[in-house]
Amino acid sequence: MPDDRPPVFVSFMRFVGRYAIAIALIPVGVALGVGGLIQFAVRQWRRKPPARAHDGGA
Amino acid sequence: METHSRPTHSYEQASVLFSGGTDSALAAVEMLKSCRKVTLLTFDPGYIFFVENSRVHADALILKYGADRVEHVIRPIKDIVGRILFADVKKDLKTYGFDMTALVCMGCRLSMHTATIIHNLEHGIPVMADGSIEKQSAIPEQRQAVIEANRKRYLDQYGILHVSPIYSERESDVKLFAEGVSPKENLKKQFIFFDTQATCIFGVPADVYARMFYKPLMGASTDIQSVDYCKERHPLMQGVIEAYFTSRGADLPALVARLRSMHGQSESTVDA
Repeated sequence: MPDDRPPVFVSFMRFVGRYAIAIALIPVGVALGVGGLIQFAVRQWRRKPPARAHDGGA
Repeated sequence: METHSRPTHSYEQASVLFSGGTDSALAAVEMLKSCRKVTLLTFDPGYIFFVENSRVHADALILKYGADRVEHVIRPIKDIVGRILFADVKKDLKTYGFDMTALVCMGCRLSMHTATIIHNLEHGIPVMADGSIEKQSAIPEQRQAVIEANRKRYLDQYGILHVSPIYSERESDVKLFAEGVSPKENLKKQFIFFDTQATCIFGVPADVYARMFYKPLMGASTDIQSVDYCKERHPLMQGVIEAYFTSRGADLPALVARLRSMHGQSESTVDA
């Protein structure tokens, strides 16, 4: 039966690359998320309150 | 109709949006229970790597069910992505700001839907399926509200039934291994580099943004935003589809009518 496992070097590089990319990109995601939160808060703050219905007649 | 529904009756043929991961592969297995033939559609938007990995599960499905029941197509869609996801990046950033970190996946998925609709109309396939799951509903394109809004539109406008047959599934890797399709049992534990699917350069930030911020902290407003984003993209999708068939001299309304006529025809000859 043929051995279809990748060479040890390839497996090792994938293992290292996986964590290296995660370490580099997770902070990017978190930073963008913090930016998104601030953006969300600002939009909520700027939103005009709904107009109040008038009581009674015209 | 519920998001996790399967087709209500058997069809001759369906297409499956196929990344090669365990969810889309299990979705294909489910569709093969009610359809005689399934076309696995893998799309290359131009910014993913190792797209050939999708062949692992595709080849396993072909081996198990036969080449007469399963076919695999890898299709480049860089041009479509350019006209849908990257149509007006400046305007998108102004409108959605940081939320584009997550919505980029939505735009990519809509580009894939456009290519699938074209394929289905061209080949007379009335059903499209994907491997969307509730567990990943932080990501806009796998939200129930988004899936249902798109499903209604695709059926009304193109006569294509869109189903997500494994929506409530939580362990597709274990199930796929048990079905004898997957080479390993715990493929869901892989990240960034996968044995059976491509790696997307937007993937990690999008995932972190969606899981940590977009869904849990911003709540239901993200559902509305995602559905609005889709509505905004629909005319662009329609434009791409019309341009494709016009350039080939094909009659789009006739192709839509052909697919519409296929719904409701129960095909009892399909093996379960």
